[in-house]
Amino acid sequence: MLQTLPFFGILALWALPAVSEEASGPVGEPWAGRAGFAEHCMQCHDISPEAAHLVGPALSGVVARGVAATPDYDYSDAFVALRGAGVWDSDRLHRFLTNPTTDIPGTSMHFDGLPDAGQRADLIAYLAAAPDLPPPVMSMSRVPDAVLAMQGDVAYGEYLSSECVGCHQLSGQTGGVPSITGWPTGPFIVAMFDYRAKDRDNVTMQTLAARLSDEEIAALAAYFETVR
Amino acid sequence: MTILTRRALIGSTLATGALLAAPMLRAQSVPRVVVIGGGAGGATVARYIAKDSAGAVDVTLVNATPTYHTCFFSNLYLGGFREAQSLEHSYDTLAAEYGITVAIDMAVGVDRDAKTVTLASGAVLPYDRLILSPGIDFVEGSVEGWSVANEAVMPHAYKGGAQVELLKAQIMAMPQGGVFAMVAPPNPYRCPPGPYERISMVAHMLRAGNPTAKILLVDPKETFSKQALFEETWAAAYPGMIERVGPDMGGNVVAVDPAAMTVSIDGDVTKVDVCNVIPGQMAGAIAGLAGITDGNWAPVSAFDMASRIDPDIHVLGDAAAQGDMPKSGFSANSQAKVCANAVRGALTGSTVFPARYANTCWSLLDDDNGVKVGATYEATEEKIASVEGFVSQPGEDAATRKATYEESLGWYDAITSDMFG
Repeated sequence: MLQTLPFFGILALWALPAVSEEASGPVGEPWAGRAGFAEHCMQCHDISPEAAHLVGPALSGVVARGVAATPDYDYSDAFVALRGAGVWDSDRLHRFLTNPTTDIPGTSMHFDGLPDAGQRADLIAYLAAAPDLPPPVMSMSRVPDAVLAMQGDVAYGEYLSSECVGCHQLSGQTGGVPSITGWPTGPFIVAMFDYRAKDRDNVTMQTLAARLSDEEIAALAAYFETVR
Repeated sequence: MTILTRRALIGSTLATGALLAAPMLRAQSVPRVVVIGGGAGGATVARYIAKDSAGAVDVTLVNATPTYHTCFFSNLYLGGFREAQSLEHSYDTLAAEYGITVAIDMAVGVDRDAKTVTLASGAVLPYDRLILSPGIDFVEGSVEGWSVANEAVMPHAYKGGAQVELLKAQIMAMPQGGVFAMVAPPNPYRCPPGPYERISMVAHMLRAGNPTAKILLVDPKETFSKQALFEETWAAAYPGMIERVGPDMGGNVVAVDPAAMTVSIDGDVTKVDVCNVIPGQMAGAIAGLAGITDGNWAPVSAFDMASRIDPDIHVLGDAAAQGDMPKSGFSANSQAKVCANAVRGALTGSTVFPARYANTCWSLLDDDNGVKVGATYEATEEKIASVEGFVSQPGEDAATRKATYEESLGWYDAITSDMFG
């Protein structure tokens, strides 16, 4: 528990102005971390009070919880092997979030990590403070409810996906290009709307999304949700 | 003919089931697709037809070598960023898991009336649809003094594998302060930014091990792909090393002498240590042998990549004259998926979706300094027509350039998985 003490010190201070840096690294700013969560995490993780497991486990209350200890989540073998061996304190989260696949080889979390210690500290501060903050907002664009409710044509989505898998590996492997397999349809549709509106960076994705209709986005979302 | 597939012995699961149930029926009724050329176009189209038809189409893939060396990313090998082995791919998965018959052989003739392909081994393959994805060959006489017979002295290194390794060995053996020359090709040619990415990668190697060496780029073209981006980095990262001679200075009046290792630019002769001649290009020879070329390339319909001369033959990638798409591995891979969907629909009645195409070409300029250019395309009666494009901008920050480079690494892994399974 000694390791966790400085971390909880930071947590207690997050809302106060002008805190000094601890030896363990920069002090996180939870509002910035909330934006980081929206950008990097919420495609696959729910952190609301009644969070459900999505592609990844629910993250409400993850800070100080045991590793691989969230009930009813089907962890990868790599995580199961670590069960009981530690808790998600600040140091442990920093290590994991720097590069998940080198920290826990074999994890099915396809995320390249946050090399910037400040961004990690922000995110960790948010994970701890999430119950006290408004829910993260994934998107600047407004997706009509009718589109979110659309039943996408999986067969058409599979054909359209051939334009995606030239860069995004169907295996879910990542590295330079993010994984897009197994996403729930909602976040997938929101991401594509954001690219289409050029609210999300990456000119390649903006250009590809520009000519996708609502039905085509829904078809892609429906197809990629089936790819696990 | 060497057959890699195990199908002849044990068959794929699906094919075996069909054989046991009704061997004669299967032999007569399963439509046959023959694909010539196992690169970004051919391997992809073979894999998609086999995967999506699940045994309803018999697919044979013909490639001259058992190992494929990607031409894309070969410049990164020249620049010291990739090992040669990382560019090698085998057809084993296509044979073992997709039930594709892989023939290691050369196609030497097409009989369009009999609908057969003859291979160098003498084997004759009947087809219902033939898909040609043979890449490029070189136009003889395109660069005065150079022919393919000189490729061991003045390599083109514009097909993956041995030629690229030869060029790298020559660069590594250059004397201190020596001269690397490139004769760049006239339009149209494979991979528009390729020669200029290569200049960047050669400069990257020389800066580290031979910093007083010079690079002489002889170019018959007024302008080239991503020119502002390349020239910005050349000036900043390799100052004084690269000299480009365009057509205004005689870059279009060039001759080489492989015996003397000289380059003549508008009559002005320069002795060089390495000379990379990238000649004018044309569709791979089999397209001409099949009689479906018009000039140097094979014209195709934008809707399904079918030859405008013979609709039972489709042409993919560099060999096709299709309109606005650049000749790139990405383009060939994109065209292959449209073609696979159309061919499978024609042969089995499966749903045919409208054609849509895309391309992105990444280039590496220096450490963690990648740029890209790309576009989306649509099918029109006349051609594949560009819809909307994008290109990296001069003066971008280092983080953007690094992310673009890393994106290209992800693309390489994804496209090679999409090609070879």
